[in-house]
Amino acid sequence: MTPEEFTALLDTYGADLTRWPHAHRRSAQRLLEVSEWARNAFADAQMLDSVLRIREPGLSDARRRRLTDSILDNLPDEPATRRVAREPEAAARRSDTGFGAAILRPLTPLWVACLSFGMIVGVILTLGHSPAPATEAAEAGWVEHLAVYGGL
Amino acid sequence: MDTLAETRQTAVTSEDITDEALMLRVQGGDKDAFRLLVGRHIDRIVGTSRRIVGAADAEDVAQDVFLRVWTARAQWAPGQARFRTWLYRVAVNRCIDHTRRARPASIDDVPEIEDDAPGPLDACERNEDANRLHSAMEHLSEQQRTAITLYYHESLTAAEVAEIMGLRLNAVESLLKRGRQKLRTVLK
Repeated sequence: MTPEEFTALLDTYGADLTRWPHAHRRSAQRLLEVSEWARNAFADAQMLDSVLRIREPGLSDARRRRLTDSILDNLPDEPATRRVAREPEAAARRSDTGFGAAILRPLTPLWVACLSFGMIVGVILTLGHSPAPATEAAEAGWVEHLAVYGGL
Repeated sequence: MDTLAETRQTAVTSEDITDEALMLRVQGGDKDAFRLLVGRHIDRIVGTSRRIVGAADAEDVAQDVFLRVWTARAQWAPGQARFRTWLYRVAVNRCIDHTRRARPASIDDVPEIEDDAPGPLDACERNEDANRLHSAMEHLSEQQRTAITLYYHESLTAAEVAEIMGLRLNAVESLLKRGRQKLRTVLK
């Protein structure tokens, strides 16, 4: 393992060798045994790890209780997704009232086909652009992507 | 189906019951089971939100996360994703929504982190380290911050982080690497 590879792995997985990919652990261990430079880099990485793992104090019992009560007090009775799905009368009303509904109804299969085609093209284009953001601009694109397709 | 029905009908009495079993009850509308789930994970979600959106809004975001878990409970599929992974996915998406809406926060807006530790000096040092880390994390992109938080703070694997963020493994590895390099420079 070269020093460059060692540094890259250290930057990616941190200084806990048990979290490194199996294939690299043994050669990293060997490098640490023979290279003082590697040991120094590893010690620096351990210090950064300890900062990144600082355990912040949790919520006090009172605060946790208040927060939990507040969440439970604000729960809607039914999930929105189900509520929408279980309104057959309203759905029937909507389908019979819109202007031009009677004209458009025969074209429904065409609308569905167009919509499906559009969605398939959208998914293909999205898949083609989603992996490995290499730049800050690509990351901004990811945020946009999640906002649109995240679903939750 | 009988087993599922029995699981849903049994009263929630024990902390030993798994998140997944609780979630099945939650899907049946059991608010006691939901209270237990919230109590189990609220600290973790507040902590994660604190690192991604900042301390000032972390509790609001955590509330939003659990309300979303309740309203979207039908979407969780047992066997498809562990509850914890699904919860983090909801949390990450809520954090992103929040940062898109929020104005940039001034450092003066960020409250000191509340600490219940007994020793005031120890508490002060821990707060100082935590605040230093928070300031450094602000130099990262939202995506890097999210990956670093899930990997180091929540001790998830890179593969789990990838699943939660909806990215490929190599994309997450790249985020971890670049985020850590930036933190190393900032914290020097």
